[in-house]
Amino acid sequence: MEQAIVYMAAAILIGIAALGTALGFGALGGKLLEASARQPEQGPALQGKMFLMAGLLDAVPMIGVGIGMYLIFAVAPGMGA
Amino acid sequence: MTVSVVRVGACARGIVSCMMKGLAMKSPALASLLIQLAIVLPVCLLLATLNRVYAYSLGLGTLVFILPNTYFTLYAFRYRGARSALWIAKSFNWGESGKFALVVVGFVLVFRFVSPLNVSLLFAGFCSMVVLQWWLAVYLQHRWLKHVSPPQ
Repeated sequence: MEQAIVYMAAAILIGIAALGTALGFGALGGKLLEASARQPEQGPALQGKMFLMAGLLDAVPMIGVGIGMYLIFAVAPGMGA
Repeated sequence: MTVSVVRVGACARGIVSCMMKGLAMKSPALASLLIQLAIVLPVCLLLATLNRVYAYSLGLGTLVFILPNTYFTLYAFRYRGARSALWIAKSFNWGESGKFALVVVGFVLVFRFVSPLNVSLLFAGFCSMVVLQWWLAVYLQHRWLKHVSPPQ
């Protein structure tokens, strides 16, 4: 039972992290296209800023994914034994 | 102990030399990778003199971040200019998906096959690289991307 709860916790952790990142990147890519269409001369600068924001955006979900993998591959097997 | 410190110093000098060559090549992705390695490798070597498990746990944590991030950077910066904005957005999306998949694979491989492992140091290495990446992105943007020529 505890093992199942750990698996569910990991699944929720990874799923919500992926959802947040997907929403964030969708908005980021859409805004880049809009801004590049309005001001083409700002394209390279916008690309650099987008790269910076992408780094901020994906950091927390990636740590969440790491913790999820820890739960699945290190914590849960120990509970089953 | 003295020999180890001398070796660490020589290694750090070699890495910094490579880093400067990378900077001279004016490639943000390569420079970012070299700066990260230049910070991580001496720390891992110093930790190895204390405890090998600590050293490879920290090193693996940093590698799990550095390798996918390098893939993402190289993939996302294939296109430049306002005319390729659509391709930039697409390559960002695919690069980010690939980065996530590589991070997942990296953590799975580490947790499945590496034992003994210090999990705290693994996550410490990973998180320290995340924070370093934020600073590097700002620094490299100021250093290189302002020199990118505008589209013709």
